[in-house]
Amino acid sequence: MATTRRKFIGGCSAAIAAMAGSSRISKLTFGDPGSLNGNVLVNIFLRGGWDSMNILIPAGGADRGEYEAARPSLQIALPGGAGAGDPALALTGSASRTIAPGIPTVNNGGGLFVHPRLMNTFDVNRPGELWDIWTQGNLAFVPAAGLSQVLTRSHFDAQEIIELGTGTTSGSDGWLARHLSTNGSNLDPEALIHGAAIGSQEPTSLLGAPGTAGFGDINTFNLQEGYSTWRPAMRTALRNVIEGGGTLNHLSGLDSLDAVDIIESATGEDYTPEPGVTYTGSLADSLESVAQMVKLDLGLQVATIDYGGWDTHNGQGDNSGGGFGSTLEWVRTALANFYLDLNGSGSDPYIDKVTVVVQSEFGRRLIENNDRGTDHGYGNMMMVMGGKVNGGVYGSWPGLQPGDLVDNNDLQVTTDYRKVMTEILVRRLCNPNIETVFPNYPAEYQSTGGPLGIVEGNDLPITPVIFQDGFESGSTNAWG
Amino acid sequence: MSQPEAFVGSLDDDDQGSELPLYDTPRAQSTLTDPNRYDGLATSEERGAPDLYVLAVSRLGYGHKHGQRAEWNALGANEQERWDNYLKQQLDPDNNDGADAFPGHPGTIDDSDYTTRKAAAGYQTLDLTLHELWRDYERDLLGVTSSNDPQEECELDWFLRSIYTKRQLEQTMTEFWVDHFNIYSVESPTESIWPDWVKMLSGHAFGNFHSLLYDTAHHPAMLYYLDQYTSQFAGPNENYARELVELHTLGAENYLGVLPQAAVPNTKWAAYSAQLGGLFHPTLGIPDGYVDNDIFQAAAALAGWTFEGAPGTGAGETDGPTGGEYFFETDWHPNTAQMTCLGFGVINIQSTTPRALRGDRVLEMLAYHPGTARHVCRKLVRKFVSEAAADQDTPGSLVHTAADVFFTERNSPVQIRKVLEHIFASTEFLNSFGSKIKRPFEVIVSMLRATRAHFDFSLGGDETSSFLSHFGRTGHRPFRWSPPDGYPDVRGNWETAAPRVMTWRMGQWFADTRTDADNLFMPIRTITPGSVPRTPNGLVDYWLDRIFPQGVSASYREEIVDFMAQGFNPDTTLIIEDNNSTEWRLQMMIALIMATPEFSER
Repeated sequence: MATTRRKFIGGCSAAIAAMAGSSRISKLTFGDPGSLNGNVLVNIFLRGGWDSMNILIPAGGADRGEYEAARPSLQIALPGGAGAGDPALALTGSASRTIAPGIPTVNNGGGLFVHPRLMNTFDVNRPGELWDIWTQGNLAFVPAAGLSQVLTRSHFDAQEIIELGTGTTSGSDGWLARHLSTNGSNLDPEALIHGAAIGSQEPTSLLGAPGTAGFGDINTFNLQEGYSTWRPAMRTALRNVIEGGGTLNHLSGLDSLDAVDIIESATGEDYTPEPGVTYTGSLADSLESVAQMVKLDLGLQVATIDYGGWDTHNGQGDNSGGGFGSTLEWVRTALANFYLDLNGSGSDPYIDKVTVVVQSEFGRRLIENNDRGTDHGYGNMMMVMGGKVNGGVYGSWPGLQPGDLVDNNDLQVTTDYRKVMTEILVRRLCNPNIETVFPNYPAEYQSTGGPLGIVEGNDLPITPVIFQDGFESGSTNAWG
Repeated sequence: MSQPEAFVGSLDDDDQGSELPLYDTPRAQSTLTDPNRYDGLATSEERGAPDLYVLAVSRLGYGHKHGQRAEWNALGANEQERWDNYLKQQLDPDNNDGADAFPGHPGTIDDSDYTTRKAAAGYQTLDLTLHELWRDYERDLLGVTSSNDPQEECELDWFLRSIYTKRQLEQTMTEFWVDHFNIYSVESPTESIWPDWVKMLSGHAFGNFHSLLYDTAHHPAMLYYLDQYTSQFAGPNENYARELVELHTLGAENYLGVLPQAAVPNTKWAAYSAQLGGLFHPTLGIPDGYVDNDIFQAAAALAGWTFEGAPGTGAGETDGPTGGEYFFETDWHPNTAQMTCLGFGVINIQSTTPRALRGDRVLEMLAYHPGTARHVCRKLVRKFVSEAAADQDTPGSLVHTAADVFFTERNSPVQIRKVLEHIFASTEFLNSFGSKIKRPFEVIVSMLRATRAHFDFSLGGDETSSFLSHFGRTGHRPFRWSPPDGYPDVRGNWETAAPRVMTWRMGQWFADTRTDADNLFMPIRTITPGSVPRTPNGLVDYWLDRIFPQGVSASYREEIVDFMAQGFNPDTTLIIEDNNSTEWRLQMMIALIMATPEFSER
C-alpha cells in the first residue's frame, strides 16, 4: 500500500505547505473537518448515446409487441420464449430491491428485463458479479431517464446541456464544478484534490472546477522523465514561474502542478487491488485509478470517467450478441471489480462512501435501421451503484405505444437526470446548494416529489427554496 | 543577485533586427470560474501589441523558427510591407491563383527544407493515388505490405511538415479541415487510404467550400467513418447525414430541433434569398435552420453512396481497376424516390433528378446556405482570433462580416482565401495576441522549430514509436480523436491537468532521449553558437531570445537564470561537456521553458 494522504501531509515539503495557502485554495470555504463524511461521487458518462431499449427491455404486454415489431434483428428474447440468443433476465423486487410503482412488474404483464450480458449469471461461483450486487440490493436502475428540458438528437448539444446543467448550451462552468465550488464546508481542507477527471480530456461537467486533477492513468501521471538530477530544481523553477504570473494560463497551470505533485507523491508503489479483483479494459483501468485515489484518502469527492463506443448506427449485434453486448460486458466487469475492490473484506468498507452513476446523452430510436443498428433517439436510462444505494428500479415507464413515443419515434423522458443527481448531492455529498448547481431546478425537484429514494442519507433544505407563499423554507427537512 | 534591467539584445545573427519588447504581465483579475474565462490573459493592448512578425509566426503557423526573422525581414522594407508579402506568399504559396493572383506576389515559397527531409525519411505511401493505396495496402493480395503503414507515415509526415514546411498557413488550414471533417484514422480500411484523405484536404486548404464538401462526401474514408457506405433508402443510416449538417455545414447553432419542416421560419436569411436563385423554395426562400426531418430526408437522398469494395456490402468491384473509389449503388436507392430537404415540407428533390445526384442537391443547399457561412466562419475566427470574437453574434461582428465574404465568394475557387484575408485584416485579429494557447501538438512542434532539434520521423526510426506513445498521452495525437467533432479548439479543454502535465513530461522525455548512436536528438550544447558566453546569463539570454520573438518579462528571465545558476554567480563560466551534469541541466532548461505558461501563449 502506498503512502496515504495523511502520512504524506505529515512529511510535507515547504512547497506543499505553500500550496495549501495559495489563492486557489482560498476560493473554498472550509468547515469543521470533523463533520466530513468522505463520500465520493463517480460519474461515468457513456459517450455516444447508449441503446437503453436493449438494456432495460420490455418483457410483456403490448409494449413487448411494439418492441419486437420495431426490432426484428436486434430484439432480445425472453426466458423460455422464442427468438435467438441468450434471453434477458428478470428484474424482480424483493426485501432489498424496490420496484417503484411507476414501473410495470412481471406480474401485471409488463415488466422490464435486463440485457443478459450486462448482468450475467453464468458464473455463479464468482463473488461480486454485477448480478450479485443487484441481488444484494446495491444496484439501481432508472429507465426513461435523461434530459427532460430539451429534445435534441445531437450528441454534442445533449452532452453540453447535461454537463453544463443550465438547461441550455450556454454556461461557463460545469455542474460538478459548481457543486465543488459550493460544497466547501464538506471538502477536506487538508486535501488538495477534490475532483478528478479520468481520461485525456476534462469533461464539461468539471469545467472550471477548483482543485481538479486529470489523467488517463494515475500511474503515468508524473514528471519522472528527463535527467533525474535536475528534476527537483526544474520543478521548483516551474512552480516559481507559474506562481509569478497572474493569467488564467498560470492559474490553471498551478492546478496542474499541484495535482502532479500530490499524485506523484502518493503513487510511489504499484497498486495491488483486493484479492480476486482484475481490472481489464479502459473503463476498468479508469475505475482502478479512482479506487486508488479513494484508498489513498486524497480528499477526492467527485470523479468523472468517459467511456465511448455507444454510437451504434451500424451492426450493433443481433439479439444479445455482437459489439453492443461486448461493450456491456466491459461495463459489467469494470463495475463489478470496482465494487469488489472497494468492498474489501473488513467492516466499514470504502464502497459505503462511494456512489457510481452511469449515464449517457440520449437513448436510441425504437425502430432499428436497415444496417441492423439504431439511430439517435431520446429517453435513455441511468444506473446507480454503491454501498449506500437502495437497489431497485425507480421512476416510471412511459410505454412504447404510438401515443407514448416522442416524435413518433423515441422513448419519452420521465425522470430528469438532475433528479437523480440532486438526490445524491444532497444525501451523499451533503450539498444543499442545488439552485446554484442546477439553476431553476429545485422547484421542479420539489413539485415532482423530491428524491426517488435511490440512496441513503439525510435530506437537507435545498437552498434557496422559495415556497409559493413567498417565504424561504425554514424547514430542516424539506422532503421528510 | 543582480540582474540586468533590460533584456539582453539578440545574439543570433539570423535574428538581427528583431525587436524585443520587455513587458511585465499585468495581474489578471479572473479566476477559473470567471464567466469570461478566456479573457483571463492580459490583452496585447495592456502590454503593448507584439509586432506583426509575432502574429504571423504564432497564429498563421506553428511558432517562431530559428532563423525565420531574417526571412521575414527580406520580405520588405517595413513591417507592413513584410506582413503584406508574407500573407500573399502564405495564401498562394505556388503563385498560381490565376485571375485571383495577388498583384506583386513576392514569388513562390522554396520549401526544400521540408521536402528534402521528407525524401530522407523514405516514406513509401504518401504520393500514391487512392486506388493504389486501396490495392496495395488495404487489399494487398500479394501479402507484402502492412495495412497501417500509410496511416503511420502520414502521421509522421504530419509532424515533419508542421515543423519544417515554410507553407505554414497551408498546413495550419489543413489541420483546421482535418479537425472540421474529423475522422478517426486508426481502423481498417481507413488507415490504408489515409494519405489520400489528408492530401485531398490540403489541396482545398484555401479553396472553395462546396468543392471541399463534395470531395469529403465522396471520399471512402468519410463514407466509412460515418456509416454512409451501407446506407439504403429503406431504413437509412442517419449517422453521416446528421454530422454533415450539424458539424460540417449548418452547425448545431442552426438546429431547431424536432419541428415539422413546414413550421420552420424563413425570416433570418431573407436578405440572401434572391442571390441563391432557385436553390431553395421559390417563394418561401431559405429556412432559418434545420430540423430532424431534414436529417432524415438528407439521409434518404444520400442512400446508395458507398465505395467499390466497401466491407460487407458487396458494392462495386473490390479488386477492380477503381477499387476503393466512390460508387453509387443503384439497388439501394429506388428511382421513384423523392424528398423534401430544407424545403418547408414541399418536395424539392424530385424523382426526375437522377438518383445518383439527389445527394448532390443536398450538398449544394448545405454549402450555399448562409447559416453554413456563419458556422464555418465562426470556427475560423475561433481558430485564428479568439473564442471571445467567435462568440460574437451581432451585425458587424467579425463572424458576420467574414460570413458575408464567405457567402459572396461562394463560387470562387479561392473562397476560403478571401475569407482569411478578411479575418487577417481585422482589428480583432491584429489585437488578439495572447488570446489563444498552443495545444499539445503545437507546443511540441514549436519547441522543435525553435531549437531546430533533429528528429527524423521515419517509420521505424530511432525512438519513433517511443516519441509517438509519449505524445499520445497528451491526448492530442494526430488523426486519433474518435468522435466526429474534432479536437477542441477551446482553451479550457487544454488548460487542464491531463494534457498539460503529459505535455511537460513529453518535453522532459525529449531532453534526454538519444539516437541509437547515442547522440541527443536535441543537443542544446552543440546547437548553441560558440560566440554565446557559457554563463547562466549568456545561455539564458541566447535561448530566450531564440525561443520568444515576443520577448519575456524580467522576472521570468530571472527564474530561468536561477535554474541555470543554481545559486552561483550567473556570470560564472560553466563547464559544459558531453553528458556531464551541466549539459543535463542545459537540456532540462529547455524542457523547463517549454513547460512554462509563457511558452504556450500565442
